[in-house]
Amino acid sequence: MKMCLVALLLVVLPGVVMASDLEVEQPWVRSVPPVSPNTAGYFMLHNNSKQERVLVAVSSDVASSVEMHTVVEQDGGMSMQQLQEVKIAAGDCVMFEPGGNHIMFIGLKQPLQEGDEVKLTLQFKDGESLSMLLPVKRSQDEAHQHQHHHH
Amino acid sequence: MWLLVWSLWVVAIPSWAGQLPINTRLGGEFSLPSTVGESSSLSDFKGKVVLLNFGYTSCPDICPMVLNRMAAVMNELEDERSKVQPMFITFDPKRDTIERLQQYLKYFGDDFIGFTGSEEQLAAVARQYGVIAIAQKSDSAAGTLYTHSDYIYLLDRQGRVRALFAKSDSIDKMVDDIESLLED
Repeated sequence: MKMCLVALLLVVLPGVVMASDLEVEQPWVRSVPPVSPNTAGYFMLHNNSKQERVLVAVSSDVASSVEMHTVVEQDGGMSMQQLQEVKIAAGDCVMFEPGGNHIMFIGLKQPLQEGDEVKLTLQFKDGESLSMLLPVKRSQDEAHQHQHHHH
Repeated sequence: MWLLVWSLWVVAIPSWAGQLPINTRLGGEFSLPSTVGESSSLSDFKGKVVLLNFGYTSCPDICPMVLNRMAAVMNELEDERSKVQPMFITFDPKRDTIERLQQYLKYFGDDFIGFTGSEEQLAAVARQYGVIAIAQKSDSAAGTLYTHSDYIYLLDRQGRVRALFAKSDSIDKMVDDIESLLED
C-alpha cells in the first residue's frame, strides 16, 4: 500500500497564509525535454484536521492549464483520467506520484530547468488555498524509487 | 483486436534458449522513418541488443517515467552501452514529427533512436508487438491522451523478443538480462 511517512516537511511560501492542518511533503515536478509541452508534478498531501478536505482545483503560472489526473489500468493499458476533486479524509493523506494521481502541467510556457521551482496553488472546497513550491528534478532515481509500487 | 494479441503473450508457450525465453508470438521486423534515416529497419541493428518502448512525447507521466528507466539502464551499462540500442516508437505521428522526436529523445541519451510513420504503419508495428494504444476522448486541455501499455521490450541480437519489462522490474534486473543476452 501507499505509505504516508510520519516525518513531515512543510513547504510554505513566505507570506502565504495557509491552513496549518494541511501539509505537503516531498513535492517535485519532473523535468522533461525542452520540446515536451507537458509534464507532471507530485507530492504527498496530509490532512491533519478532523474534517474531510476536498481538493477541487489546482493552478500555476508556468503552464496554460493545470489539471489533476490519475492513472488507472484499463483495457490492458494505462489510462489517464481527469479528476474533478480529490478527497482527503480526516487524519489521512493522499499521494500524488508517478503512475498514479498527478498534477498535469499542460502547455508549458517555457521549458522548466532542473533547479527551477514551480509555484502551485491548491484550492479546497471550503475556500481555503494552499501554495507550495515544487523543485524541478530530473529524477534519475525515479525508476529505483518506484520498482515496488506495482501490485 | 490488440487485446487479443496481447493476451496471446500470456498464454504463449515460449521456447527456451538460455535464461530468457524466445517469445515466438510477438515482435518481428519493421521499417519506419526514423531519427537516423528516411527508413530504418530493426534488422539494421542486428548484432545489438535492443531496448524498445512505445509512447508519445506529449505524455506527461508514464512515457517520461519509462524513458527515464531506459536511460538509467543505459547509464548502468558503461562499456557495454555501445552494444545496446535504445529505441522509441511513437503512436502519435500527428504530433510526433522526426524533429520533435530528435529533440525529445536526446534528453534521455544521444544514442536513443525514434521512429514514426503513417498511422497504418505504426498500428501494424504495434500489433506485431502486442502494444495497446487507444486515443481516448477527454475534456482535458492536453488534447488527445492515450490509454496505452508501457512495457519495455528486450530484443536479442537477432531481433527476437526475449523479455517484456514492466514497472515492477528493477533497473538491476533489466541490466542483468541485457548482460545475459550479450554473453549468448
